[in-house]
Amino acid sequence: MAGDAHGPDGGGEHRKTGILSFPYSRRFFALFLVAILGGLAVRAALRPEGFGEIGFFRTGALAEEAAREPTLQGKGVCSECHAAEFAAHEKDVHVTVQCEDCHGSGDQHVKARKEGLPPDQGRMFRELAQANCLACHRRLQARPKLFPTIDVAEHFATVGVTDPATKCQGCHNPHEPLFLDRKVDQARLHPLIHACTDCHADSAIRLKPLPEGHVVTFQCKDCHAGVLADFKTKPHKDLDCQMCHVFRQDSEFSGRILKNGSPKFCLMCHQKQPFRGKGRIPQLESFEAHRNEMAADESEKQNRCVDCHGEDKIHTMHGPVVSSQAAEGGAR
Amino acid sequence: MSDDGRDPRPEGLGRRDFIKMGFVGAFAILVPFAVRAAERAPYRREDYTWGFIVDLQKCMGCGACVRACKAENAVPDGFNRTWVERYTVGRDGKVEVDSPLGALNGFPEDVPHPPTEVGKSFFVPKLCNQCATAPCVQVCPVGASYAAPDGVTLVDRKRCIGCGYCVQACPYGVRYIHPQTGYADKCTLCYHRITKGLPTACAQACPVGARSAGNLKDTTSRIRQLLNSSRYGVLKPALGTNPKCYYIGLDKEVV
Repeated sequence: MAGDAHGPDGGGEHRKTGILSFPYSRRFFALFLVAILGGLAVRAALRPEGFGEIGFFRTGALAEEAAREPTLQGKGVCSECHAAEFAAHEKDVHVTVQCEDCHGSGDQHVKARKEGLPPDQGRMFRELAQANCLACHRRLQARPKLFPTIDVAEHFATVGVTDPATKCQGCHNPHEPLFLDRKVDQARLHPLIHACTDCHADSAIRLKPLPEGHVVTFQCKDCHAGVLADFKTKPHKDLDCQMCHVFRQDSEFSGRILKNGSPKFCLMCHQKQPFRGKGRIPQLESFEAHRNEMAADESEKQNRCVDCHGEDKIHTMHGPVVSSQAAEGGAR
Repeated sequence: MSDDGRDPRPEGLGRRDFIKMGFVGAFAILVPFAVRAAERAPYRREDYTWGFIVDLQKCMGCGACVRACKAENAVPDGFNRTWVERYTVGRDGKVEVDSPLGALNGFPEDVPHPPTEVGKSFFVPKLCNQCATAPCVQVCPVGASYAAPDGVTLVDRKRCIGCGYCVQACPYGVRYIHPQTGYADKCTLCYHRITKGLPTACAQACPVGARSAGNLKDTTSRIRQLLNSSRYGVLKPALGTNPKCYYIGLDKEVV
């Protein structure tokens, strides 16, 4: 028998041959097991629900993040009640500006209205100081060149405003800042950069160097010299073309010219206002009264400012728009 | 009934026509409901990989995005989830960067002391770059910073212990420790808005459409169209963070 050395009653000693038969190793493994189970228990207790299901994070956190209610309402919500302001806003150049950009977040306002709370609980930020408008329209070197920007002192001098604290909305309705006259116009594509072939029949010309004195980037005067020469003899001569012919760049190659024929546009400067000095700029008490007084018959009661004053106060409206010199070659 | 026992052809509407009209009518009534149901279809994150695009040629530094983000996300004073920087590059190549209050009130004046004669100047909005391999997620010891399966890097406020490792790890400096609550905070790409089909607060507020979030998985999305049609760059590409925030017209000077 193999167990001779241990004797017939040495079963206990016989068991010692297995690793678990040593009391100390038994205790060790028991402790090890307890440590593992304990670790699992602690892990189960500490591990948040859903952790690690789709990544090293708590799955529920996604839903919690997504559950928050939006604070900014968007102009669609504003338009539900403020239809008149919205309609004016939608058709002028500020159409891309959200209501809440100027008025502040509307969540409390909408909530107060929907729950019928007193109006002061939903009061919105409404103080439209110069600084609000200038956040976009202040002239800065870094601003894109075609974006309409002003230097306040310079602009006030141009339009004859004498009180430096005048707010922009004294003349510009923020919902309808330029009063674009959509009926009579106007918006049409205008090339930003001329291709050589716009003026020259020979398409190979683009491979040749520009002749001495040839314009590189075309400006209004390069094509509309005739109109401009006439304009320079009229009272508006100090203004930029862009003052009335709003230019909007659509792409790298084209833009849009909006010729402004709305009487409201002219009245931004010519309406009598307390903050405007007397004398330099002719001012009207009431445009309607002036128009009705001057009208010879019923049809003329619909006249715009330019219908009577265009030729003598602004520039020729009937001459050739593009100068013959420009049409011939564009070379100067 | 006519004499031969069959229905005469009625003057106006036959039975067949009536039933046909009934079907058409029922269908017509149901169409708007079907459309509305499709609109309200629950957000499926498998369909999305969110990215962000900024057109630097359009940005004119008004700061509307900064103000909108503050309002939308109750960002504490002195901190920003998004901000606008102004780069002023002198004719001799010297660069000055400034961002007064993160452009919270826009830019009140030109750079007061430009380095030299100004060559070019432009605005660069900054926000979380939504890195595909985000260092902030990698360093988080508790799994609080995580990349959601739809590509947005988020912070689980219940897990965050405020150790600030992620704030240090982010090479773009978009994270901060919230002064009141003590957890790490950052741009969530307005996760609560984009999952409801709304634009991010900053994109909605932008008056010139210079920035927007979009679905990179959808080949018809605006961001994909812009990426396909314009030349763009990302910030600090050498770090290998693979940002999903793309800048159209990015200048070499921008870091």
